[in-house]
Amino acid sequence: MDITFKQVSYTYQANSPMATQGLRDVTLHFASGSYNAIIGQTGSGKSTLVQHLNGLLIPTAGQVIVGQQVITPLTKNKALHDLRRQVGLVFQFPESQLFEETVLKDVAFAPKNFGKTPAEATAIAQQALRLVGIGPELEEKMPFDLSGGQMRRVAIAGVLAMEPEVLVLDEPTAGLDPVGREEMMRLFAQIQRERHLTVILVTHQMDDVVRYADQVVVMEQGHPLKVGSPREIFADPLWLQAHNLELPSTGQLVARLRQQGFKFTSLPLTVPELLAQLTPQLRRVPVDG
Amino acid sequence: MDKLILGRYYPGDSFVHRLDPRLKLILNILFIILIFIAQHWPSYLLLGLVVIASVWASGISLRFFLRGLRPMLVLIIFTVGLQLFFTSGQHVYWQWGILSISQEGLINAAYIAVRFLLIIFMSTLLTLTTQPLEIADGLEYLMKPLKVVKFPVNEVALMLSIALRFVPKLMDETTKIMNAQRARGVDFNNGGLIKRAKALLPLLIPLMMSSIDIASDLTTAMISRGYRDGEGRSRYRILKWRPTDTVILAASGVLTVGLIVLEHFL
Amino acid sequence: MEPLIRLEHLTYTYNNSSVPALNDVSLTIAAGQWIAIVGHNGSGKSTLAKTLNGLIEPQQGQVFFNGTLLDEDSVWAIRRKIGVVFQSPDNQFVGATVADDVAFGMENNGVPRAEMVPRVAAALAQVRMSEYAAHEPARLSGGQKQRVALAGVLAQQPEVIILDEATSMLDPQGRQDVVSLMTQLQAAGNFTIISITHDIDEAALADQVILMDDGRLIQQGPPATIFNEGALLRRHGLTVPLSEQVRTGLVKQGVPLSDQYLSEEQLVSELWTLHLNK
Repeated sequence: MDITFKQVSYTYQANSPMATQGLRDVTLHFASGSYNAIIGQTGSGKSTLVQHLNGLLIPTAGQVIVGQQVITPLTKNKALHDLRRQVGLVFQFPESQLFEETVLKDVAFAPKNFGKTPAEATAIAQQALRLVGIGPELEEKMPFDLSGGQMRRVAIAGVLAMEPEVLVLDEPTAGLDPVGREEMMRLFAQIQRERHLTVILVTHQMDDVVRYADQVVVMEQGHPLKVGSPREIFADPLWLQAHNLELPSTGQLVARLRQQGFKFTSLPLTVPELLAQLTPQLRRVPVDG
Repeated sequence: MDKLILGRYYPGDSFVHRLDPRLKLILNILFIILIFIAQHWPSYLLLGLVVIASVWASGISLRFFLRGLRPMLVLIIFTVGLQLFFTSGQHVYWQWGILSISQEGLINAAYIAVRFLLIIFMSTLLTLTTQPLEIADGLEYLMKPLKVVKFPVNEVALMLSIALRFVPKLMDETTKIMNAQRARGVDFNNGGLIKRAKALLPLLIPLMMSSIDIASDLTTAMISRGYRDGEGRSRYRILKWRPTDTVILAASGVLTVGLIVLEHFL
Repeated sequence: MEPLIRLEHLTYTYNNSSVPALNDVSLTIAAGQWIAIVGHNGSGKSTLAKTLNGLIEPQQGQVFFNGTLLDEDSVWAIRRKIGVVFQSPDNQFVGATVADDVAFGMENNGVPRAEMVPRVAAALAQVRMSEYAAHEPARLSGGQKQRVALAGVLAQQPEVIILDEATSMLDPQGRQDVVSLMTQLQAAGNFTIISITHDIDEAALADQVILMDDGRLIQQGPPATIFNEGALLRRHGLTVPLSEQVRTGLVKQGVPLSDQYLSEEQLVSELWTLHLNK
């Protein structure tokens, strides 16, 4: 599903003395089936941006076009029900949205809201739970009795159960340990491939951006500062530094190596790329075996 | 949410802002007593002038006071209406069944309306010019005598200040959970009463769970930092009673006496 | 010499669980060191930290602080010497303003106000938050809140500072601020720092790393020893530091680097030597 922002602006508490600008003249395009990352400092408008994707926020100026649906400042809440189903939004620490008595009921909640029969909703919920790696033995448990990582998975299943065409992830791995983070990111990539989803990921993890994103949007003060492939975005370390953005971890090591005097023709973004450029610059001995 | 009385502090540095919260609390209580002592128009005029002078000294635009009036409007109209229609009197202007409008009713209703207005203006002035925390401090101080009857004054004061401190956090949490559930197809604004009440469950349960989490984290943190109970604690935050506070207190005393004398002669 | 902290055969099982969160853990921590306790979520590392100041009482085993057994009589005195910064920036902020929060611990211990005022000011200066003294928590960033929590700990003049996943909920900027602050404090003061973390780069700053899994102590040693075993880290749910990934990658291609873990700094300088001798 294609998504287009046309000169979108959003003002919080508009028409009041406390008005603050959330988005400023945003024009963007997310291609159907692409994996997009949105990066930027805390408070740069990343979360405000993604809340426009399913009409939780309505632009104060401009248009958001999601598939066939056009959202303008005049769009009424009632017109958004269909859009909400098509765009699944996983909030930061999504486990805080769990509320039902059982895991299964909680995951079936969204499909029921969107008009599935209880039997259909249950079937979809079971499927979604399997997808995130939650087995049938946990279905009848209280969500609050699960571990933190399991609760996170259940909450994500609750969004996947809407069978959305666009998946929006707002820092979905915050608070997880390294292995949990990696598993979660691989899961999203797998779901994206299998269901041909358009993914929009808000993150501070530059290594994930390098690994997964096709397109990166850098936000600053409510405005997209730069849009491009990870390679284009991370090509200029000085520019990143000037805008308080981190490099991927290899980038940080490369910066150190460059300072020491090593030469790199392009910025290596992964360990194999780094090794390929570094090895020729070093003394080597024959490897035995 | 912003209609909540707690969030109504209007930051400023006016004469009224700088008065000791204890003084402002005492004066508010005194003012309510005076309102009930006053039975005649000249007294109300005097008290009205006091209110106008205080509002002026706070430097806050009248708009904010009127906004404070809004949540109380139903109560005011109801009470005034009761007085208006149910006071029996000799000069009846209009009658319908048990409802009647008499001269006495009109006068009583006017009195009630003025009393309400004056009290609300004065208490709004308190909340607009005093940070919630200062009010909590002031209350703790004024409640000190209750320690004699084993009332846990320190604990209640700490509880009050922690509750105030977590209001913005819980409001954020509410917005966040509402958004998450709206994204899952919940409609909080439409539908009948039952449907709307049902829509509250996905909001209230997560909110309760998150409050429990906060409370449990907070308890752990407080114990780690050596909190046992209110006894034996020292205080960092202190209230400073200044000469201006004494002057205002004295002036209020004079006003009280003046009002009583006035009432006596009318 | 008696170590600062000595744990003997600690075992603890939570009420609602059948598997122990701590399983026969014994270890010692010497004064003045920076210790990192690492492990994946649920490995028992936070439970271990909570036994140190008596927040949980192990069913078996004993905790000694400076040779004193931690029990009902000694627990409050020991808590005064151990400051903890917890994970959630919001949920440990007790005071209504920054200065109030920093003073909270001292208030609990009945420190006279005349002494509190300069200590609050000094602690806030140490964490570079002086200008925010009168601010309410709602208007601070996560990193700023954690710095205030750290100031609250410093104001109590503790011997040990525990960071219980204190950076895990922060953005990179906030994390960077807290970590660099800790490095400075460690260099300047005579604190023992115990940092509970699953961030391997943070653990690399420590003198000693304690690796936990399934409530057991897997290994304790300097970062070089622990990080040298990439397979061990991966097996216990952690990542391998980037410098170690690069080192092993280069060694495989015949680059004659040391066979020991190298920090990024050490790696870069060894690589430069190999470059010059090419």
